[in-house]
Amino acid sequence: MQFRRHVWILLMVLWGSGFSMAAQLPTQSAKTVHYDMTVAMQAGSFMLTGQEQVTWRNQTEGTTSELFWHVYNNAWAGRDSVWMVEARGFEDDKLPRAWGETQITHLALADGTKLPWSWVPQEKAPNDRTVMKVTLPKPIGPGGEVTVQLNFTALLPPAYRRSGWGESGYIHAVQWYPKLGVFEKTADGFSWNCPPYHYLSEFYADYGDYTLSLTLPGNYAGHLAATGTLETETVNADGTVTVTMHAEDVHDYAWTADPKALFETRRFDAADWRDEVEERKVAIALNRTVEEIRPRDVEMILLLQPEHEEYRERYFEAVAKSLYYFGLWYGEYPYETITCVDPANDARATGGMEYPRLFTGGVHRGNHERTLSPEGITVHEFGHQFWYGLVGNDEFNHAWLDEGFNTFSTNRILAKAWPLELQTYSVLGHQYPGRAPLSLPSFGESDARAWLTLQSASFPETPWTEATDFALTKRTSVEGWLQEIPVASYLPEVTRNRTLALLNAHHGDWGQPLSTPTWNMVSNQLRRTNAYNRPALTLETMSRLMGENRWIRLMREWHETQRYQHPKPEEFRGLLLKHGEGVGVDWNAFWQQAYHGNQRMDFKVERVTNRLLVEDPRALEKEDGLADATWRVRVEVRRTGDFQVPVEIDILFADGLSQRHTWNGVGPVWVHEVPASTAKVMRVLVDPEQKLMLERNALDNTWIMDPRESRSWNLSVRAMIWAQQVLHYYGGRG
Amino acid sequence: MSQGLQERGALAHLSNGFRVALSRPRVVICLLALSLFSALPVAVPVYHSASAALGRFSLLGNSLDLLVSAPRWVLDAWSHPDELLKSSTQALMAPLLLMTSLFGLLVTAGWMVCALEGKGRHALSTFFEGGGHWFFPFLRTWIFGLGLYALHTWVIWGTPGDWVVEQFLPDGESTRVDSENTGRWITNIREIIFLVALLKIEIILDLARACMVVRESRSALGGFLRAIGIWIRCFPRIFRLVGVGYALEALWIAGSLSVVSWQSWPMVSLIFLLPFGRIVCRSARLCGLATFVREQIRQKNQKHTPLPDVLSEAPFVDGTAWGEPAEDPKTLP
Ligand SMILES: [Zn+2]
Repeated sequence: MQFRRHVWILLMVLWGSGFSMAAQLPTQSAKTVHYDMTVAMQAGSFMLTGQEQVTWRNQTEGTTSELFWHVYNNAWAGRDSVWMVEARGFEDDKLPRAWGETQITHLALADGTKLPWSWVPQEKAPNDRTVMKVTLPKPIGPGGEVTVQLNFTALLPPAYRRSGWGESGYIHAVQWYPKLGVFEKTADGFSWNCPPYHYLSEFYADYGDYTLSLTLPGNYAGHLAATGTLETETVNADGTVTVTMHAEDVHDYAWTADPKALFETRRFDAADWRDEVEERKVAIALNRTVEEIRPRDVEMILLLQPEHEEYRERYFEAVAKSLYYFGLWYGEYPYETITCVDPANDARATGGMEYPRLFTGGVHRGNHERTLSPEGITVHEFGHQFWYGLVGNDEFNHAWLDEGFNTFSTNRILAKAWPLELQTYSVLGHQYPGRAPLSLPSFGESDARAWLTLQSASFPETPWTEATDFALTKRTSVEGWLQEIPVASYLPEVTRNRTLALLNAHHGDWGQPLSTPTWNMVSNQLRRTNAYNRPALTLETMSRLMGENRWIRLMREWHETQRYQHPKPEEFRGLLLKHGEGVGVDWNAFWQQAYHGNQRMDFKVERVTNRLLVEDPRALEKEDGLADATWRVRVEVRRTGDFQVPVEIDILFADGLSQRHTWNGVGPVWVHEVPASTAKVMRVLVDPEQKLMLERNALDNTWIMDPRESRSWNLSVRAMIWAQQVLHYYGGRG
Repeated sequence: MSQGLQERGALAHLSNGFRVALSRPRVVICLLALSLFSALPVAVPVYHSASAALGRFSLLGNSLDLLVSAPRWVLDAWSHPDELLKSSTQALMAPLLLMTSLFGLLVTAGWMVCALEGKGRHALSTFFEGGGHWFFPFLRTWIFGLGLYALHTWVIWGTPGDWVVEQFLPDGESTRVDSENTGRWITNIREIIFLVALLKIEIILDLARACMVVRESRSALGGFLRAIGIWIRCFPRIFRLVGVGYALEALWIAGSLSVVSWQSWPMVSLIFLLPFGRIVCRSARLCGLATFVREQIRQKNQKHTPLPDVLSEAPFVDGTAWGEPAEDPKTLP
């Protein structure tokens, strides 16, 4: 890996100090690993029997006499795995209905020399069997390689937490074969980076080529999709079917088979999805031709549940638009195929996941066309082909490098390629657009106030009886409809921009900084914040502060230099400094606060005063008396958070002139005073272009002279109509 | 069918109900005013909260309507810092819901008395005197009703309902079968059965109340048993009466909404339009049920001991036909 990295650095130097915008996508990975696997699944079981021949090349400058492997299917082998122990710690008590398990039945060098191996005990879970250590007879030095023959059996669990099968034969085989970890440079030398399967993270492996020969019961013929390209399919004498597949430059291998799913292949052609404005913008920013940046053709494969026929076009459209925009912005998708899997109903646990060249979506029936489901999940999981697949960060430590970049990219594509999403409510499983202006009171169990709403009856404990709580009614979707009459009382069109929606996702403190290793986050909620939403907002803020052209160049360079690599956050900081230079932001300080720190970004218009300076009071009595009056105006903006960042302030005066100021955001307060202004201040906008997406409360960033009473009037009218309907319903209840 | 009394169709009772309601505009206006005033405690805090949070907010490039359409992030940003608004409106709504439900008893009694009494006296005083007179007897039906609601809820959403669902879905989980439709159908059917059960309870309770008023009996249990008898005998007719009543209400709602959206009537007119129609429709249903029950009881009684035709339209003594000690239901034959 290091060799390749050096080659790239050398090429960069040769091509000049600035980032040359000629196409620089690497055409292949370093091919550190090579897997050649033969696997069979017996009919009536979900047990895989496999042989794999794995070649590992040491592409570092270090030496090792060990091989470390992920055997992650053993996370489901009992309650003792790290995953299960961590799950209990996060109060996730759900267990698989049946356990899965991988056993190693044979392990030797290619020449037959048996290799000693052992499970690696983990601190939290000494009996964990998700990491295996193999001791080699002699060390492998830089440039050396070793080939190992490994036989295994893997019993897949019923669909549980991303992997497994459904009753009708759907199989989603992921983390199913023993896979090598990553041997890499660390602060003190070289070592294997091969953590156990953690509850909060699971991916990090080297790039290479895979060949797989898979034998399945005959009913799976023509019903298989995989990371690799399907090459041959042979029906055997015993009725089974053997499929051979091959994939290059990927770091994992997954396959899905489903005898009842519909399979359809369509060709993606960028010409069908062109966005000329965006193409020109990107071409100009990169100083390349439109032809150079336009994505190439790809085979799109959809594995669709028959009862989701209504979503066939929507899935394809989402995959195609993703191929187009991701390709346009970051570099073309390099593989021949991309497979989108719509999981079986009883295997929904496998939905919403990413693997090289194959990902899973997931959708329920009855969605409104403006809900962006399945579009949202499809774009996001496709996006992982770029952030996770092609740029293979260490997800255990820096999940934000894939999830955060991907959330950022997903939101941009959804905003660009679809009309804004509408908020909906459901009745009998069908969605309708609308949002209640207020919500009905609901009280929890044992809350005596629940009587008031005729929802439940709670009786406190007495010396003779125990506390009891029984439901008087259950608020079903139809009864909810009858109570509120949404067609009359809801706001019918509440639009949702996913990026702006993130503005409201966070309140209070951030918790742990972005730099905290993902596997070690204190809660799943915090992982969501730090891996997805917070980095998405941080990237959006960076891009808006930097400007679109610089940002296009930065992201392109990040992707092109990191394709088939294992990037580190500090490398991204380097690009930030490079491309952000000269925009007036101290990116080192920004990085320190946003990545290593936990600073909150928040500004507020504290006070605006317009004081009339009257020299001759009689002037006021004249008609138009204020026309030539002078004003003492004062605008006070406060930094209510501790994140110091430059912010623009826009002041509009009554005469129509406006001023744009930039405050460095360092001090606690910014004051602008005009001792004698010919016009009073009509409007103040802090961060007028909404660049600061990390801002905690954007509503107090603006001030207008005359409050808009119509808004509060409108909202209260809606609330009143809503309350009338609810009260009318209750007037006939009981 | 008895020979002495002509049986009227369900829709005739309903249309008579509309006649009763519409010929008492003062009562309708009074109820409309009540609908407006009871919703105000919710609307006013919303007004103040929105003024404070959104009044001086400037959304570039977009006018902020907030009546029909709104960017979700603005609504969320408004509701987040103002958690108090949510909790305070909920705290206001909760007792209002209970009070409205109880006041509904008075309204039910008022309309039933108006329907049975016929025109003559001042409508408002008939309405409120009747309502006041029957409030406490009806309260017993209300408490009884809560028990019925709880029982139905338990049967459909509790252990028995769960048992039935588990016959189709392992562990009752819709994600344990390979078809999504199975779970959807089961949940939907369960919801609809629950809703029909709720409706049935409400109708039976109203029938019981009508029986009490018609028979001038304060016994909730007696009223309830008679109501079940009528329900069993006349289920299709009752269903037609109530069903058409609801359908007309739905039409009114749809009509009001289309007037507002097509004719550019301001949205605020819905504050008057919707409750007006809904109040009239509910009143008509209640009046229709009352006269329907009277008809049924008369027929039944005529089979045994013929009653004078004008039982509940007897002239008032001291302005009211009820409340005299001699007419205590316990002493009635
Ligand atoms: Zn993701």
